[in-house]
Formats: sequence, C-alpha cells, structure tokens
Amino acid sequence: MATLYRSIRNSLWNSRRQWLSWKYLLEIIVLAGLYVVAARYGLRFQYAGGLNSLVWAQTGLALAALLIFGYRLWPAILIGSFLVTYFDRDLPFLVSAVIAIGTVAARVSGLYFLRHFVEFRKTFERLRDVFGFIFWGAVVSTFIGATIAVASQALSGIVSTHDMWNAWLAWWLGDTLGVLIFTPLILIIFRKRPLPTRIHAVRILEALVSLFIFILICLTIFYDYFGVVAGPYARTFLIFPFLIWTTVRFDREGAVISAFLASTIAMSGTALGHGPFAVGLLDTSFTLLQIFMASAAITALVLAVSFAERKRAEREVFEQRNKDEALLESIGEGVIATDTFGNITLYNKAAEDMLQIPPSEAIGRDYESVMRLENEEGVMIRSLDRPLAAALSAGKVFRGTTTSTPAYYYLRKDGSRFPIALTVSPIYMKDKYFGAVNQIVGVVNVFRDITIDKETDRTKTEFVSIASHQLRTPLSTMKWHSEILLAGDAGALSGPQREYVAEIYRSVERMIKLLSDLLSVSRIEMGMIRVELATIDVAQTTDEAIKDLAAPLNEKGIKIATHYSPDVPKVRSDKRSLEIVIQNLLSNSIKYSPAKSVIELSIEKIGERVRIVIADQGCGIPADDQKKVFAKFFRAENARSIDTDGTGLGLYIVKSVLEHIDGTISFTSVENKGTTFYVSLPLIA
Amino acid sequence: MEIIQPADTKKKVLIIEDETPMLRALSDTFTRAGFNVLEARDGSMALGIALNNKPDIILLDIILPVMDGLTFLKKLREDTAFGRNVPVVLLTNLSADREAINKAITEGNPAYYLVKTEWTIRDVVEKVKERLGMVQT
Repeated sequence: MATLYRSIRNSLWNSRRQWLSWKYLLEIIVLAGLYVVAARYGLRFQYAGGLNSLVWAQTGLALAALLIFGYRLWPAILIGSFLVTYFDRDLPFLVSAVIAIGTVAARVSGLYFLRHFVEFRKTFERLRDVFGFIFWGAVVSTFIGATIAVASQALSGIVSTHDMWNAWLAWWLGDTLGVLIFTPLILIIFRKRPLPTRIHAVRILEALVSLFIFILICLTIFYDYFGVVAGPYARTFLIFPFLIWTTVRFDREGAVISAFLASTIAMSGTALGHGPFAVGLLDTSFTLLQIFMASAAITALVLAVSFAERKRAEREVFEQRNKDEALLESIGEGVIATDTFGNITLYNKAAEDMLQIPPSEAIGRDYESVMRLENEEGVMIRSLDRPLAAALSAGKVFRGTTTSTPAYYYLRKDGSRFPIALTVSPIYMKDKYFGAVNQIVGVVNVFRDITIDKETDRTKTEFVSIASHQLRTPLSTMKWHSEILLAGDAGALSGPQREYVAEIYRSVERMIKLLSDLLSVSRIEMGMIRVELATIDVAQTTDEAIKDLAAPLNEKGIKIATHYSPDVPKVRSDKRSLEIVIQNLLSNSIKYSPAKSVIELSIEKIGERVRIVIADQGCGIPADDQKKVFAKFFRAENARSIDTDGTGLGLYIVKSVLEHIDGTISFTSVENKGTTFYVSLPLIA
Repeated sequence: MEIIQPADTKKKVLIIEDETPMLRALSDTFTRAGFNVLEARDGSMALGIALNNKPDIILLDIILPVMDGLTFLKKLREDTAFGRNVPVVLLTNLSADREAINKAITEGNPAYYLVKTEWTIRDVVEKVKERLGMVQT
C-alpha cells in the first residue's frame, strides 16, 4: 500500500522546476480548455433535468490525454472539471470542487489500472487491450467518478435520495460512453503509423464513398431522413452491416470514426425527436440509446482489433515462412525434403544446380524418380534400400559423408553422375494437440558434391603411397645386402666386420619400423584407414601373427601360451586391422619381457564380444605413465631404458585402428611384474 | 638348409625387378638356394619370358618401366592355361592401400603379397619354397 501511495505520489508530483516551466503551464491550459470544449459538446445532449449528458466527451478526452502524456497532466483535469461543474452547470463551489477531485481520482485510477493490470498498448494491438480497456477504463474507473459526483450532490441536497440511483446511472453511463467512444477515437487517430509509401487514389475514394454511405445510413436511421423506413428494431440493426464494413476495410480507424459518427448522429437525432429511440419519456429513450451506442462502439472496436491481430499474425507467419524458405534456398548444400509418401515438398537452389533438374520437375514428384541414386558400381539403388526409406521407417539418421565409406552417386538430369556426401534425417514435428508425441512428417536430405574431395583424397593417398615406396626401396636394398653379408653368402666375415654389418642391419630395421609406424600414423590422421569387413577367425589370425614373430621369440627364448576358448565364433571385422593390433601388442610384450618368460594369450567370448587377453611378465608400465601410453610418441621411462629403438607410436596406432572396427582396449599393469592388455571386439563391426 | 638338386629338376623362378641391386640380391640368393633363375627388368619383357619359359613361380615387382606389374599380372592371367595357374608372388614396396592395387590383388590372385622391407631375403626364399611345396613348414 505504501509503495502504491509512493508510486502515485511520484507520478503526480512534479519537481518545482517542472511546475514552473512555461511548456507545462501551456499544456495544462490547453488541455483544460479542450476539456471545457468537449464538455460543451456533451452538454448539447443533456437530459435528466439538465444534470446529465448522454455522453461525456471530456471524460474520454481526459483519459486519452493521460494515456498519451502520463499522470502529470492531472491538474488540467482538475481545472477543466471544476470550470465545467461550477460555471456551465452552476453547481455550488464546494460540490464542484469535490466533483473535480473525484474526476481526477477516476481518470488517474483509470490510467493506473490500464498500465498495471492490462499493460495497455495505446494502439489497441491485442484483444487484451480492448477488453482491458472496456473493463478498467470504461466501466471500473468511471464507477469511482460517478459515485463521488453523485454522493457529493446528494449530500449537498442537490439530488434527492429518490433520484439518486437514476442520477448515478446516468452519470456513470455518460462517462462510460465518453470513454468508449472518445478515448479510442483520440488514441487511434493520433497513433503512430508507418508513413504511407504512396497514396492510393482508389483507397481514398473508397474511404470517402464509405464515409458518405455510412453517414447516409445513420441519417436514415436516426433522422428518419428518407421517411420512416421499416420498424424501429429493423432500422437499428441496419447500422451493423455498414459498421462492420467500415471496420473490416479501414481497421481501427474505420471502427472509431464510425462509432463516433453513429453516436453523434444518433444522439442529435434522438434529441430532436427522430429515429427509433425517440419513444416515450426522454430519459428512457436516452438510456436505450446509450446502451445501443455502447454495444455498437464495443462491437466495432473488438471486431477491428480481432481483425488487426489476425492480419498481423498472418503477416508474421508469412514473413517467417518467407525467411525460412529464403534460408533453405540459400544454403550451399542441396536440401530436398519429402513428405511421408516420398513426394518432394522442398527443393532448394543448390539441389537444382547439382541435379540440373528444374524445380517444376521435382516439387510434388516422387523422390525416387528425381533423385536417382547409384552406388560405386553404377547399380541403381531402389526404394527400400535407400537411406530415405530407412530414415522414414526407422526414424534413423543416415550419414554417408566420408570418402572412406562406400560412395553414393546422384544422377543428373542428363544421366551423368557425381559422388555425394549425404545426410538423411527424419523430420520430427510436435503434434499441436498431443504435444508430447513426436511424429515423423517427412525426411530431409542434405547433400553435397564431393568430386573434389574424392580427388583430393586420391591425391593424398597416392602421395603417401609413392613416398613410402621411394623411401622403402633403398631401405630394402640395404636390408637385403647386409643380410646376405651376415649370412656369409659373400664369404665369411671377420668378427669385427660381422659386428659392423650387424649394426648396419639393425639400424636399417629400425628405420623401416619407424617409417612403417609413421605411415600408419599419417594414414590414421588423413582418415585413410580402410576397413574391409570380412568373416575372420580371430584365433587363426592370432596364430599367423605369432608365426610372423618367430624370429624375436626365438631370439629371447620367449614362449607364447595360447588359450582359445572353443565357443569363440568367427567375427565380421577387418583382418588387416586385427593383425596390426595383435602384432603390435605381442611385439611390445616380447620386447619388454625377460628372456625365457612366458606370454599368456587367451581368446574368449564375453557377451556379444570377443576378448583377446595378452599377459606378459615384463617391465610393466609405471603408474604415473599409465594414462599416457596411448598418446602419440609417448614412451615410458623404463621402456626407453630397455629398448632405445622404439618409436612410441605402436599403442597409438593400435588404439586408432581399433576405433575403426568398434574395438576397445584397456590394460592393467604393475611395474616390474608385467602388463595385461584386454582387447575387445564386437562380433559384427 | 640348401637343397641341392640335379639341374633338370631345378625349379624355375622368374624374377621381375627393375632395380639392379635388388634384382642382383634376389637373383644371387635364389641361385644359391638351388633355383634356376630367369630375370626380367620390365613387364613387357617379362611377359615374353614367362610365356616362353613357363617358370614354376614368378616374383613380381609392381612399379616397373614399359609395363607395370599389375598390367603384367592381368595380361598373364588372361593369356594361357599356364598364365592362369602359375603362382605369382607380388614382391614390392608399395603398400596395398590403393584401390587399383586392391583390385589387382583380388583379380590377379597372387600367392603372396610381400612388402620388401618387411621380409628378409631368406624368408622370401622360404615363402617361395613353401608355395612350391619344397619344404614342410
């Protein structure tokens, strides 16, 4: 309550400087003057013994002024109201003063209610503004003013207790109508609107003709202009088609001007004894007229705002859709959307450019006939095998985006083809009425021509391949020649000679290993790992790897004890990858195990995976280094002291290769006790 | 280790290799191992020698002048019953990571694909012997 008081006080009370500013004084004088003029308009339609008016225009003016300029103009209302009651209506000074204060209280409270309870927008944007305005502005706030005014008159004996109810009703209805007709009229006429870009002559003509016809109709009804046309009720209803017409055609402006014209003509006509409301006592006929005018004004306003609101919503939807379409249209990748039947609903410019099929031959057609899809071998991919069908039926996102996966090609209109990276996703839409359920309403294909990517990839592969060939040629020559020397095939070597040549041989081997590891790493990093799924026997592949390691095994006298569980099925995987994994792990174990030790190797089926366990009794991995062993070029300190030649790439390669075949690797290790690696492979990669 | 055989029962090996030092190392080693060695330095020459001499096994490099190894293999397999059946060991320094090589391997059906740096020359001889059923491994 204290806050409310403070906020009202702060809004009503200007600083000293503002009270004294000429501009402010001028505003007060002008508004007070206008107030008096508006009241005189209302007084032309006096009734109930000269105490009341049909419509208090000044009430509507005062509320509009406060809505536009804020609370600070309240003194103008106080002055205007006092002048009207004291001079024009000859009420006693004190009563006039009380009425003036009550009027200010009513207008200020109207503004407060509209601001706080409605968040009122002066342009009547929303239906909320209209209904809030009618309730708080036209009905509730006027209640306060009418009550104070009639109470003060009753207390001073001007109005007898007998007439009090009628006086109150008349006062209140006059204020209500004033607000309903004049406040929107002022707010709408002076609303900010975009400047017209050009003047539409036809529109102006329509406005003038409508105005003329509307006035004519009002005169017909309320002035009996063409004689008495039809009965009183039929005549009254005649106003609505025209009121609706002007409202629909001319928005809020049409509504407020029509309501103003209709009420003015109706009041003056009725006052002169014309029209359907001029029946019986003047009091009764005026009350009927007031009710009629209120309904007409409310109808026009509500209608206008509903229309404006709807038009705005439509425009927003339209603009949003245009924006979305422009966005999709401008995306550099081909975008094609279909409905659930596979008919194309959206087809953007990039898709058109790539497929060279005009939109007229695409939109609305079956996707299969427009986006003809082929595989590498040039075999057409039919509906059920297409990614789109999968996306639609299973709700799965398909991504054929890398050059290492089997390539898809789209056919252009002329039958030529281009490789594509393709993403096909189901379009989910929330059902408006069953919000939680996500329904697939179609599929969206996003694709791009990857001819250049493929070419780049091919060049990269070729470069690596040729470079490695060139590097290997001299290495293999050195390897073989030193081997021949060592074998004594070119005559027996002396002790030191043998040692020197052995050193050459060892260095060449080291170089070869380094080169091969670097090649593997560059293949991994260039995304060149090729996975070819085949049915493979893990045990057999392991045996082959062991056989290839015969030389180092013999050298150190290390045995590999294998335990193959009989229930291990064949797996769908890449043989070369598996070989790389097993060879690297075993060769590490051999390298770091003491001579004559045993490496345990077991293969078992665990759930839907095959597990390969390689346990050695080697130097182990220090606890501090265990997190880093899969990092590129990392070598543990103890490993480095045992074998100075390692590249630090083996485990990095193993892990990377495993990732390509959905495999995982983990280990446990105790320094100086040994390490156990666990490799897990899916039955189907 | 060495198997001494009479001259007429010696197995004939055709070594196709353009690098002289490599060719020499292979040729010397295979001769010492008791093979009758035929040499060729390019694919085209090799094709003539192969068809005329019908070696028991062919060691084939891939990168060769005039006609490369993969083309040689294709032509060899196309030509005669001998060409279709003679075992071929691809002995190269090219990794099998290119489409063309993979395709040739599948179609040419070589006995082995050996990367030179990965193998000692002795193991190469062993592989050849193994393929020809000369040793029990």
